[in-house]
Amino acid sequence: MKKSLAFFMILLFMLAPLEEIGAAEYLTYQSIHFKRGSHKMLADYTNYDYNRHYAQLSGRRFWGWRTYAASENAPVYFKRDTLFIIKNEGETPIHQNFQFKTSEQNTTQLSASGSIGFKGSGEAKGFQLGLDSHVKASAETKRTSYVEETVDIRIQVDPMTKLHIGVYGEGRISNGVGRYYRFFKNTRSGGGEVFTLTTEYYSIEKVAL
Amino acid sequence: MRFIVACVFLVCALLALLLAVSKAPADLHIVSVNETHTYTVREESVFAFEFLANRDDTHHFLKEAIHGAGVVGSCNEKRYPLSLLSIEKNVRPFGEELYHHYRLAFAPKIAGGIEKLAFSNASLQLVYGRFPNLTLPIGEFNVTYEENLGDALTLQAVRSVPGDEGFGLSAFGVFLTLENTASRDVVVTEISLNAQKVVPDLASSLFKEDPGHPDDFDALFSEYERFNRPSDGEAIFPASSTKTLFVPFSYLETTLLHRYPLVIDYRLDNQKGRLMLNDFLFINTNRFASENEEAFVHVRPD
Repeated sequence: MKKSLAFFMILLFMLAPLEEIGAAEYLTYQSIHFKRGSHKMLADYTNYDYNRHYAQLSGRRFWGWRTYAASENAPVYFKRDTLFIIKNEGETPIHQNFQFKTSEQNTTQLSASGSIGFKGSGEAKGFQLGLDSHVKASAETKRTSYVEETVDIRIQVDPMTKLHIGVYGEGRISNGVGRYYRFFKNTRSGGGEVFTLTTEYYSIEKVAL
Repeated sequence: MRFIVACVFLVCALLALLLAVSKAPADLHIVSVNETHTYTVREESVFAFEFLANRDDTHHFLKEAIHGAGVVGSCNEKRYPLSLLSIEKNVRPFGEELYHHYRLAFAPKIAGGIEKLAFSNASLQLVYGRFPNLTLPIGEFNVTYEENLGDALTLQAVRSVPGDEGFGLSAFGVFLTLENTASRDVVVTEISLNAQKVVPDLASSLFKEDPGHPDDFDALFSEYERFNRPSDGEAIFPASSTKTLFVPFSYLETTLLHRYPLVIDYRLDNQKGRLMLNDFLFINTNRFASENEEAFVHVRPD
């Protein structure tokens, strides 16, 4: 009796869907746009999009994922943020040195919706339950690493102006939907997205106070 | 006795098999980038050079093994001495393989004063105590120093436009928002990057009356028609005006340009003026991502 109860409890646990929502830094960028085509960010998927993409998944399976990629390595451009650097409220120009550290290159960020979750953290972060191996972009970029560079510049800041460093860039986005099955039962479903940062551009701008 | 002889034979056979099976280490292969290095030098300046190597078990990129460093021209006629600051190590894919990535950062040795220098084909020379020197081509190397003259023209905004001319992502041109603070017209006569292989084409530059740059560089090309061309390769800034100038770059040879200074020469009445911006990293990207072999130089040390 005890054995059957334990088996039933384990089965119940395995079949229970988990609600997890993932967030990534790229979702906080000021703007991000696809360069071409009718791609959509995962955050912009409507119920209609989900249903349309789920319809692309072939039938149930005994155990594991069924996935559909709506966008694969689609190029995007973005405006990340504006770094406020120096303010000159005086009446004479000032010459100022400033430094900032550049971001990582070729790094991958993940986001998910529905009951798709993550494992690990930082650079080792990945989708749970082996979904990584179904996402080509995630598997490809995991091998890469990054270089951090210090940018150091001396510039004149005119009276009553402030200086900004704008950070823009390009990257690639892959996204789609997936369903996870255990004993032919759909236990998890949702969307997943992989963002790969490839290049950042920096601009200098003086703004009147 | 027979047993001992058999054992010795067996051990010898196993050793021979091990020797045959174990592979000799691959020859060292170093990859460098054909890049334009152009700096405005100050005491706190840092020069960085990046290389890939298929092995990390040699002395070549060990900080302790490097006793001296400098940049030399193609004729070795002059040497620009450098002090090694740091070596960062990483891993990067290159082609189908994973390579060890090294970023060597140096400070200039400017005890005798800052000098101007221009090597169109330069190499980084690393000097070791017990081993032969290593010479790694780095592309073009230019240094100058900040030299502002007059204050009629001030820089309000600057942004580089990236492009891929077939050999990798590089600076395609630059947006410059300049303000003429004088009460008379200022004529910009020349814009330079203090480089030999990449030259700003002021004669083909475009004006935009209002400040601001498009976020999407592809959209830039559709906005060209709204700009007015400056005449005769000179850009006129009327008294107390602010204008945005887009200056395209001409590549005279294959090279990558990500970090550069700007030297803007102008004329106010008959007086010459100069506005300089130190070298600034405009584009931060993987230098080794190009699919064109022309972007790279391969070195196989003995």
